[in-house]
Amino acid sequence: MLNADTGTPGIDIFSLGRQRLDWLQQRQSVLASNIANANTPDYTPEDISPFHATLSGLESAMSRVSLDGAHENDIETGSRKPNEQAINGNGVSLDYEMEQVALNNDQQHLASNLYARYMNMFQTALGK
Amino acid sequence: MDLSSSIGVSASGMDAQSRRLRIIAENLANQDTTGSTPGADPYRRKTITFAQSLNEETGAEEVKVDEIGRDQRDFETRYDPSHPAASAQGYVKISNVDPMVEMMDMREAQHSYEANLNTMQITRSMMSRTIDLLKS
Repeated sequence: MLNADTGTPGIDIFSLGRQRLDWLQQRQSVLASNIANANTPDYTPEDISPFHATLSGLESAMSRVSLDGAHENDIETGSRKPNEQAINGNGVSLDYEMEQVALNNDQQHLASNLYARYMNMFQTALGK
Repeated sequence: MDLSSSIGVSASGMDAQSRRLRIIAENLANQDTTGSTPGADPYRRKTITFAQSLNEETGAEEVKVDEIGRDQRDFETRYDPSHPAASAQGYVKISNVDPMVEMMDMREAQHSYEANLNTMQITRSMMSRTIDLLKS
């Protein structure tokens, strides 16, 4: 992956974009689990830590990336407090989950577009 | 946990829901099935339960069919002395399938199946957008 080092961690759009896409991908996986388990007895829906929580650890995470070359995973999965519960103890609300999936989709659209635009800027600079 | 494992999760959900639909279809098809010898038991309604399952390859939490059981509810009886399954008193046991319950269950299964399908479609479009980054 092209890593344009601008000197200031957190302003590097490539690394920020990659983190964002990574986070959205994990969120999609967790939401898919919630939806698949919408009729499983005693299942509590899960969610991952918000993106800004991953961002605050960005600086340290980035130095780790450059040191050992491997991306350290700071995203945690935990159970979400259900606002309604079915008689079999299932706490998944399909409407809420679908809304979150749609939101996730839009955010991924935005993130990947921004990433592509930034890449285009480099291509313009390189004269391609 | 990448996007293809999310597709796997949605697929497991669709699989579980379609099995549930199969059980519902079996129940509805057999709602009038009675025994053929005097006092014999009629069709006993099947039940299905789901459980969480961890896909060890991808680390994603999927869903699986936990158990296909039988509804232990008592059978109702109907007075029909001419029936081959009628007891000495002339009563026939009829199956414990309630069409209303099955219809409700069917709606729920359909709903959940569609939700899984929708999630899979969205995951696919996220995937193709990520791949499109290579094209620009």
